[in-house]
Amino acid sequence: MKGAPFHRRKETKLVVRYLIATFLVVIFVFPIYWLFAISFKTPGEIFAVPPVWYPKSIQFNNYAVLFKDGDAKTVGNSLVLSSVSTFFAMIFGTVAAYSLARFKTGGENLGVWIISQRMMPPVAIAFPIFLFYVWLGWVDTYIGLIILYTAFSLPYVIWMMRGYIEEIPLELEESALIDGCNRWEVLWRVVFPMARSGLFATAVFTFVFSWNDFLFALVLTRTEVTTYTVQVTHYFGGQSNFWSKIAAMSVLGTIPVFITVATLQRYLVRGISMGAVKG
Amino acid sequence: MINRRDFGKISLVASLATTMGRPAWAASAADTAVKAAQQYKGRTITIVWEAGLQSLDPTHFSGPKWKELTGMDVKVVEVATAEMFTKIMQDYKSGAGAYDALNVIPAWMPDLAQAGALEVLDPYVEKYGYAPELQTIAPTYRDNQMKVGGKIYGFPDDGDVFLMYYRRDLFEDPAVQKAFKEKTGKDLAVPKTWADFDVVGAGLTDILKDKGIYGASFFRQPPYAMYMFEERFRNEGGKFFDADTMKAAINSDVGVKVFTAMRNENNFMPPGVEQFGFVENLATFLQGQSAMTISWPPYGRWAEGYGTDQEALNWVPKTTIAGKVGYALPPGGHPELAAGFALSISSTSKNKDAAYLFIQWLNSEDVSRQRVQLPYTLRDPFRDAHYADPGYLALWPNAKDYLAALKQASQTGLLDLSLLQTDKYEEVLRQAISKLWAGDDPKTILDAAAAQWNDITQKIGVDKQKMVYAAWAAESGAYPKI
Repeated sequence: MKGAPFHRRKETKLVVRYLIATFLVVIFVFPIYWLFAISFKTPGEIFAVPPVWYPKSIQFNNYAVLFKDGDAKTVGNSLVLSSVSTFFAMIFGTVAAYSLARFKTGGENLGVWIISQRMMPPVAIAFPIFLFYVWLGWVDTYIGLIILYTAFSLPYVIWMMRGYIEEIPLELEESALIDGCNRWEVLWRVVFPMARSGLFATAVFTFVFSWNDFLFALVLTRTEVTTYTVQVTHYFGGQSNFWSKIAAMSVLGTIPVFITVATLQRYLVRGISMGAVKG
Repeated sequence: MINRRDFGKISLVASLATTMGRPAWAASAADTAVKAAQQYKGRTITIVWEAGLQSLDPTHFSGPKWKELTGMDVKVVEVATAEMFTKIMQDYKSGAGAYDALNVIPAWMPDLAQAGALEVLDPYVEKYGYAPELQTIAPTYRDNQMKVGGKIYGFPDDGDVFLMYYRRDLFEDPAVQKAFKEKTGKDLAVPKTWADFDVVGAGLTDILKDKGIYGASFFRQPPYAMYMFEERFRNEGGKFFDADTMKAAINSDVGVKVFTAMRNENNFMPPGVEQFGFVENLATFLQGQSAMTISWPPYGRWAEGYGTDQEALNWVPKTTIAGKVGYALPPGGHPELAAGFALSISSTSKNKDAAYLFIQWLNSEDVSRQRVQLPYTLRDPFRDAHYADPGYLALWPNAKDYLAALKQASQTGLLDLSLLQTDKYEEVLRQAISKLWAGDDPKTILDAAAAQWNDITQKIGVDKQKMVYAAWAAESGAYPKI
């Protein structure tokens, strides 16, 4: 008889927890749902009062226009810039991080100095970089933005990867060296596989940083390598707001990051936890 | 409703009408520009244009046509309005010379001209014989949006001006008229003063609210409301500065009266009107939920359904009020020119002559007549000939009333405040309006805003700014002439 009320209390607690969790999920997911919903709505539905909570029919016209007018190309530009810069940042950053972790290159404080570069407000150097790029002829070019994003991502990659590499037991590397591997082979055969989760986690965040950049893309592009973040602003005019295009383009811009994170979630969680332990 | 083919026919008729109306010996400015530009065949000129609908003009119409006529390519750099000034200055300061021609909001002209970013156009106007056609630009635009310090820096190219749009069917409805008379003791008429507007707006809301119709709705987001304040403040007799001391005068009794009235009027407008931007207000009007509104010219066209069947305008809500719309000047009779665009040449361009010829051709009577009728862009009539164009007059049944109202506005419009670092002054106004909607005291808000304006003036230099203000205030459209 005594167990029943206790059981009920436990059930009530559980229900309350689920209710709170559901409420929070709805709060967080609703803006994303709304974005997707608008992207499928007709103009009449977008401006309807009271609001239309879901599109009456799924129509892809808002997306088709983006492809027809060539606006979707800007998502491709973002993809190229973010992927290539992430690739280079990961390669150079990991090698640099290995050097810092194993050879104490630059002493104990070089790592801190490198990460401190991230603390600089990008807007403070946007114009000097623009001037330099004008001189180099790199404005509105892939190479210009790839180099810039790589440079900006390097401190983060170095800092994170140094932590992950320091976690790897030194003995494993020594064994590989004794077995005849050189340092590059140690990196390839021991460090990369052992730090795989950290590599993926760092790569995902590096990709997302570049993907979300607006300031440099705005300042350093004109027509050829416009990114999707800049393209979205083109839909806000003094006398026009293309809500359907804004929503559809934002969905297109969300999908690659969503796929990347969803695919690498396993590594991401493990990588972040490792970083957290390392502090 | 007009389709693209019909539009082509109308343009052809318009072009023929223009050509036939010109003496046989006189070459049009458009022809002159084309002939002279043919020597630049194969070159590319880059032009900065506002992103969105505006840029469909050069990408879909004028750019391809110019290429066909001259063999020159036109590269369009689309930039969001908020970024245009920065992008232009950035290019100039760096010496990149990436832009040849520019779309410039006239209020920026003093800043850009003083910085040296704009090419003086007088020698080109003379060289290519454009002066006579410049004179046929409607007075408000020609006299106020073309020169800085007596020199031409841009060709006014967009007849942006606020008009009042109202539901003619409601104003002419005997039942509504009767109810209004009973309620207010006055005859229902389109308001000519802001005092009348308050009576009509509140009265119509009381009478029609049950049917889901409010007396009025306005765009109220600060960037838009700022223009409405500038207009109304001057129509009510306000001056922005004391011309002798350059002390800000927006916190005068007139300023406080206007601010207070603006907030009170929200009470008879739709809920949430404080957040209405251009599109939200458009939707409200087109869906028949407001009896009066004030906005730029596209409202008038889209309310009649002109061009809204085009793909580029598929975001415009379907109109439910076609054939029921009337056009008038906003209360006070001196509407704000509110932004607009002028065509200029970048001083760092490496293709100045070629770029000039392109903007002369764009701005010419022949070509601009076609451009202002493009259903999918936002260029509004700005030449005397545009208001009387037979093709335009036939676009919808009461297009003649629309053009007549625009023509009237083109004679009495008020120039946007234009000083050195105008945007800093405007930002203060935008913030003041945000505070107004948040419920702060109008006098307190305006006192603070005036103090900020004085700080900005001090930093720029009182004497320097005083000269610019004096030149601006001397323009015919700066303050209403009583």
